[in-house]
Amino acid sequence: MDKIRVLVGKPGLDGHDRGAKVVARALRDAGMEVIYTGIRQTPEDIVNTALEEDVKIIGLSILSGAHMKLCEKILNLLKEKEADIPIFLGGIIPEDDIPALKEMGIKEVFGPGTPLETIISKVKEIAISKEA
Amino acid sequence: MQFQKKLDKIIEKFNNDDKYALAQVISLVENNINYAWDIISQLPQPKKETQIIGITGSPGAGKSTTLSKMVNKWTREGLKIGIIAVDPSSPFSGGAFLGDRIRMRNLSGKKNVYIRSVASRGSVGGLCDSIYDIVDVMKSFGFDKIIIETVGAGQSEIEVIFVADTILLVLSPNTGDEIQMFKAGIMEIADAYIVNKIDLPEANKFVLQLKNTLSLESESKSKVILPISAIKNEGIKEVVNWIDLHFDEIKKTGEYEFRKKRRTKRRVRSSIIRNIDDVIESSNFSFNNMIDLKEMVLKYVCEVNKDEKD
Repeated sequence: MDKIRVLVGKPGLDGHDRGAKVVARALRDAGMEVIYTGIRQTPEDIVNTALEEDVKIIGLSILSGAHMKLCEKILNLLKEKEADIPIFLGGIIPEDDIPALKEMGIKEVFGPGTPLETIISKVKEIAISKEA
Repeated sequence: MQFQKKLDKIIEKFNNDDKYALAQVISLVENNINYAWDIISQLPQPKKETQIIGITGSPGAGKSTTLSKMVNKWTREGLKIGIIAVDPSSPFSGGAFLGDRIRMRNLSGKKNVYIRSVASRGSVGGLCDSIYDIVDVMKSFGFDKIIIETVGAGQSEIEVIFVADTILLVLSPNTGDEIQMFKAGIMEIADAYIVNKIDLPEANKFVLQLKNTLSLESESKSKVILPISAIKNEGIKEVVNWIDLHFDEIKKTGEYEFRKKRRTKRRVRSSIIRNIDDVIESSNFSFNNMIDLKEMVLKYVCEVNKDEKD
């Protein structure tokens, strides 16, 4: 099986990257190749990086409250480029927003306290199901 | 067959200058190393004489930052630049944390720049086994220059000399006394020594030590020391000019052809060794007797290659 390449990035203006780093590190230790973009990425940056790096899956961490707008923009840009790359989301996301995000096309939302094992196995599952 | 169909579709886009198709071709050669040469043979012949530049140096020396500033200058001249940034894979999990792009944010989204982060996947020379194939794919795409950034290198990760036409070693001050500079390995392979962080207080002493050490070399090869501050964008113009000149120079002196031949030899060697590794790994041969095992493996490798040719 091919190595899973995953992008972990933070779109928008908040600088709290602890969570993104913890998840990136956990995915690394689960055998994945993690492209880490760091903080303050524009939606265009995220999509361009994902396509240049040919990743299987994108992980976004957002704590700014701007998740609805940012996710919508990123999903639209991906559609524009005819790229079918699944996205999972982490950070501070109110429960009430999750159905709308999933409706929009976000595959999974992991809130604070989610065990890393859950994230790893879900990410693997999504990436592998895409390959099949 | 399905693989070929998928490949044909990607190559069509690749030929239309689509850098996202380039990304997919790179993944294909990376993940199917035994078919890489076959895939490459289906790509267009390179139309340009691409200069391949290797940047090496210890972790944190400033390779990525220097590179990003250099590329800025070249893109302003309208050149098309491809970057391969290698970071290490874990010997335990096989995973990798690829973070070189963070230092190259100023290049993000530029039309004429393509950046690819690559994991070393078990290779110990500072690069990855697929590096030659990835370079070939990128050459076919028509870059003017391809820049390869090695993993943060110690003293003996020197695979880059086989891949690159021009080799830069990025050093930073306060990294040991001159005895470190006398050591064989990475200190010998550079065509130019970039001393980064020249704004630090001890920097001039370091440059002087380096000058003294290099002046002891018996070879008449002109080795250059270029002091820079990548973060302050100082000295970058000189580096860029020197790199352009070096390419012209090696073509004149015959060094270019010599390096090309050396590369081909190395590549064939790596491919054969990988063949042997595959046979040993997948074999059910008994491991009790070394001599028997060796003979069996050699016989097997020869036969497999003969079959493939027929």
